[in-house]
Amino acid sequence: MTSVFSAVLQRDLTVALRQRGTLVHHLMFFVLVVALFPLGTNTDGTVLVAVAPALIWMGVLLSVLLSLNDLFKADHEYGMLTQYLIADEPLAIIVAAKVLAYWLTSGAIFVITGPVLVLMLGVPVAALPVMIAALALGTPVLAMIGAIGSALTLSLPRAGLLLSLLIFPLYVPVLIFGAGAMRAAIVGLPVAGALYVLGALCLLAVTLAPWVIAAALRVGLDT
Amino acid sequence: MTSRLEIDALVCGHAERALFAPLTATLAAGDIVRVAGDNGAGKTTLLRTLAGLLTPLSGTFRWSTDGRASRAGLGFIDHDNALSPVLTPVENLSAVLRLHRNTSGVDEFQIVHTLAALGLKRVAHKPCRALSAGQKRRTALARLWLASCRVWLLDEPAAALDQASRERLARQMQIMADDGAAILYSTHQALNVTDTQVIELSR
Amino acid sequence: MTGTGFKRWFHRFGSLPYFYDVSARWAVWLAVPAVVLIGYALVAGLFVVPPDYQQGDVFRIIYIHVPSAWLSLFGYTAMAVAGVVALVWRLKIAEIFIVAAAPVGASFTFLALVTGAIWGEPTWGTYWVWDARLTSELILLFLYLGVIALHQAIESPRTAARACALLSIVGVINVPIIHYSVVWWTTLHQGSTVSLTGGSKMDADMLWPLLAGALGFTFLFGWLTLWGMRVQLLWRERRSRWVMKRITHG
Repeated sequence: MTSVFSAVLQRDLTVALRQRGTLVHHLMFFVLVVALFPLGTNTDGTVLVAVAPALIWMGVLLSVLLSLNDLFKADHEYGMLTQYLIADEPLAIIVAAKVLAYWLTSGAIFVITGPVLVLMLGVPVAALPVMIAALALGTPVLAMIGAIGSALTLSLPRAGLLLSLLIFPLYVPVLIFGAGAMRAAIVGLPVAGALYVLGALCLLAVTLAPWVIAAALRVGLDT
Repeated sequence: MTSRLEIDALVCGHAERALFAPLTATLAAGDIVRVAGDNGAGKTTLLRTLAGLLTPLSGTFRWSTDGRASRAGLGFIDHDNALSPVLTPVENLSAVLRLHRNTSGVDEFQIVHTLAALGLKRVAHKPCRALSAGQKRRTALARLWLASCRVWLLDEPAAALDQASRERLARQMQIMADDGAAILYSTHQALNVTDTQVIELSR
Repeated sequence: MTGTGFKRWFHRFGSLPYFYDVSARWAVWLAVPAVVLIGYALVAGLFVVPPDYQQGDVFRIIYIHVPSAWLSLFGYTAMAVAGVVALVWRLKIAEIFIVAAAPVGASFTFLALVTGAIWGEPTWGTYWVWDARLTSELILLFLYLGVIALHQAIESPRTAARACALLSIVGVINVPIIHYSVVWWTTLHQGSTVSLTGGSKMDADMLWPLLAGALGFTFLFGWLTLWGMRVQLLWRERRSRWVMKRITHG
């Protein structure tokens, strides 16, 4: 079981690293969404600091949505997914490895660049550790839930808009507690509660979602 | 003779529309069974259903490996070669082989050796996007030499192969059957193997 | 009911022609209570119950609003339960229920939002407040729309229904989490907003029509969903012999 997990993880990481261009595009998309926002309002520091948490999380949601479309697509196109579906090992283990590889490559972008971007928006440095923690706990949930939607819409052409309709409502708790923790950190309110909830959501998603993703893949491809 | 697969009045199709008349058949160890039928007769659908990828419209089928009702040890090679274009044949094969319990121990040396025997030595470490259609097919088929599955489902294994490769494939299928594997396959090219049974799909 | 008896009933219920035939009779048993209960609730709610001492006549909209809100939750939960049945036992009737219930549930959710907004204007002076309950209801509407959109996008009816089953199960796990997070969000940043039912204790005269309305709406939901199921059933099985027979012989 661990052998399959590490095999899939290693394979997907190798693929991701050989396609570094895609990762750079994700990074640039995220940076652009956040960087263009101030141009649409004014450079009033208080306004930017007030919206910074929401802005960062909206940027994360949009980038996750765009990249999730491709989570299973390539494997589906050249038939690797078929091999995963008939493997002796549980499909849930395989998809857990795939989502982890996805998060290690895409999710890491947000955790690393997010803090830099909020500094540009005028957020105090003292709030950064909380932001990193919130992103680190929240983005795995986004990846797991998003993978469910991605699996359900896999065989559909142009599923991007539909995918957003399926998964954005499910992202509400992460958005609220993720941005809430950041906002509380900026104004100096206690943040532990929100971070605990994010941690609980993360735990819940990591334990339950792989089985749901596996079921969704079987349903979505049985056409 | 141990039975590997029992098919009982199986009907497959898409969106509630049946592709062929109810099918009943048995697959035993050492069998080489060819699925025949015109284009669109449902050969691929049948193989995908037996692999557990599609839900049958009606009827049942039962796998048994060593008396246990399971499809563990099933090998399936379909139209797609399951090769990532950015990975090399060696990397691709090692990833696929590690999905199955009985082949997770196959090492890189064995893979390179098999690829060399199939005339793929020069491309073994090149990204698969640089390979020709025939080279990709041979890479996918290398699993027949590397994995000792008890049952093989092969959908058009000879597609894109030249004469020499087709003969090598036929010889290997015969050897696997002699070793007690059961093979269910479909083909458009003539393959020089002794079919123990032919399943004709008709409406 | 004995084990085998239940099993036989289960299989008979799973038979589509049988369901189609008996559901026509059940429809009456849903329609009559629905009309009677909703009729009583409306007459009593609009004319018999005295006006509220704070809100006057405006409060009477609760006789539509509260039953709709109740059904928006009830409908989604029922879809998720049917989803489990559809995925575990592969019962076709359960698949069809999800597909038929989604638009009905979405309509009640929409109704709850619209009546909430109409109520909000004279009461709070604005059509929309980011109140915890209204916001959760809005997200619930999106969850419904997601199921409907997914169903429309997938061509194969069985795959579509099973995908919707899975999505409603995922959704129903999320509904309490969403509600909790929205409550947290509103209490943190707005202070407490106007509470819908708090303050005035409900009088029995007001309560009975409300309960009757909720029950009547539930019957209405069942009735509409049942007819939706019959239509779905005919469409899905349009190539089968039993549908042909029933269409040609009336």
